[in-house]
Amino acid sequence: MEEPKSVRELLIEIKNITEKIVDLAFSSFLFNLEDVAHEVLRLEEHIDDLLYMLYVRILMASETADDAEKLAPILVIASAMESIADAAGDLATIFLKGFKLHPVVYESLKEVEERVVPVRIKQGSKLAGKKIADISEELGVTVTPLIVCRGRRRLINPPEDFIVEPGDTVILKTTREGVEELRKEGE
Amino acid sequence: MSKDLLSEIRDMLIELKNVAEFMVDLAYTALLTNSRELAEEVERLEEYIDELHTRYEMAVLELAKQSEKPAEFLGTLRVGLAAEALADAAREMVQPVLRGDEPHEIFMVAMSEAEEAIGRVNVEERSPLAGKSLSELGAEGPPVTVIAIRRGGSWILHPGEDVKLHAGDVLVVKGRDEDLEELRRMARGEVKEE
Repeated sequence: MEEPKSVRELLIEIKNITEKIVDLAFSSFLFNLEDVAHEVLRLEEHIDDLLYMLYVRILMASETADDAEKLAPILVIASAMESIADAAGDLATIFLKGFKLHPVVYESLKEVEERVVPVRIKQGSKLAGKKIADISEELGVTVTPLIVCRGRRRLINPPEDFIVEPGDTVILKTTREGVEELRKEGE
Repeated sequence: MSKDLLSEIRDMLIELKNVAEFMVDLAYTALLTNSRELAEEVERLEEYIDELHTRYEMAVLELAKQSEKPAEFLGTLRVGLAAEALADAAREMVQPVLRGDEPHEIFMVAMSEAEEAIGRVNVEERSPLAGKSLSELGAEGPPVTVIAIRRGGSWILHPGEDVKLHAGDVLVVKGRDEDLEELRRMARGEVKEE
């Protein structure tokens, strides 16, 4: 993963991840998605690294009592961001430890419309080489990409013109019907 | 096992997830707009989650009692704790706003430049948006998510698809910068050039 440098860049990236990690953590639990739970743990670790860099930079920027007073609220917010990532990570951890939902509860959740699903782009897949914006059309179902995993890189909110390559995993949001279509495609 | 109880549990579980996610959004919005009103909504929602979580636990325990292996419901119980922890974190996040701390410039810049921006959009009298439902906006407008509507003195949080927009509404909207800008043009009543 690329290392952002400034306080501003760090805050942006942490904010973007915390906005997605809650959805990913709950979805892994509710729809029994181990891959997604592992991804949540990776993101949590990444947030911890980013927060550490953020704390260092804030401390470096603080020279006077006035600076400290201005920067303290950012520390409060950063600590809350950390709590969000921790709570999401805890959810993924208890799930991976085997504290899953009861089978009857899973069964009842099959009626839920909104779904999150990881899609692996295989060599020769019709999605390979396509733009993020074209995925919905290509599959004939509405999907919203949340995150693209490429090797060790993680791209949150991929831009519309981002091109998907074989080997990528795109975690996306779709409908119940969309999950069926994706399964049929074997994507 | 009782079907009704099960669907009640399912609905509460989905609501815990939705409210927790919404609180994180709303907490960022409260910070970005330095809005005490939104920060107070976050606090109210935190109380709401506490109460919802208790009802959820009671229902899960009731269902477990009807089962021969109640211990199998442990995971079902624990997911509620995460929702409560997330709600607490969102509440913690808006404390600087409630204390009246001056928002730091760096923070405001960072928040407004994040890839998915959150912004306010005022629906003016002559705007074609007035009278449209959110589902119509979804079909005709840019791809944005309306996360709250301020109408007069009250808020509509997480508005449903059938909610109609009124002239004078203030929308809190999430989306890419260019999409927010297009929505603002529509809200001002400007016609898009073909």
